[in-house]
Amino acid sequence: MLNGIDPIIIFNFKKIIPAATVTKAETPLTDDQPSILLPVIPMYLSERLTGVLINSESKSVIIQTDTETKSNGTKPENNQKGVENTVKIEMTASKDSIGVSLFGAMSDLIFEKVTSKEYSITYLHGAVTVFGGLLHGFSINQSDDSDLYKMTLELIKPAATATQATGITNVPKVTGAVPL
Amino acid sequence: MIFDWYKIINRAEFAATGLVSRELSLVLEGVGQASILVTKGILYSIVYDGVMLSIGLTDSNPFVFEGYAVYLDSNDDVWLGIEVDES
Repeated sequence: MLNGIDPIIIFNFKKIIPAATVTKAETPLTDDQPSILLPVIPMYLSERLTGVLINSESKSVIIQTDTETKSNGTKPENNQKGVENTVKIEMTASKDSIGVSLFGAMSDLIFEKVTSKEYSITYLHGAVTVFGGLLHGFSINQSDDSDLYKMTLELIKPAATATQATGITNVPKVTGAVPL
Repeated sequence: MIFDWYKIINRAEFAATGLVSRELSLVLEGVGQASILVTKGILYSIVYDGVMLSIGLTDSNPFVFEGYAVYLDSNDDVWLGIEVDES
């Protein structure tokens, strides 16, 4: 619980059905491959239900700005690119809490699926929400002066499309000694 | 030599922007998403996969280097060529 509200985190998994026509040379361009949705795994971040105490929660938006000056001396052009949009949750849990076991198991499962993007994480806590987010980082630490685990979870909000951002052009190829 | 050619940019349009460089993200058929840097120096050049290809260098069109090529056509379009294994 944090500020009187129990956050909920939902792990969503799916299994992509590979298409027979995809060759090794081709990179999957979109997330629109057929897939099978697997049962979701919800988890309340509550001391009473899962033994997890939320210490802090923070949201961070980082944007990279490239300023390009022009050879004709006119106004420089600013190009911006989103670097990250993350939510960071710091938690404490006792070593026998189900929350620690579940986070540990989920992180190992998600690690295998990060490239295939067969997972997403939804985090709901009042004004801080992440729908269909991705795991940006996770750690569990225990020190010798306490039997409590300190966990840190970072979620990142996904781009509008999985692998192809808007504005990127598809370029067809022309084969020959010179392009005709 | 045979290449897979991809139209990258129009040289005149790039010159009109007044920029000295621009990085383009394109999805090349059969290759996938690629980042190509277009630069303007003494010659216009494109940088792909760490290889710099200058248009008209050594008075060659296409200019070929390390399995890649750059070609400027009659419409002032700049093409990137990736050599195809002919075997």
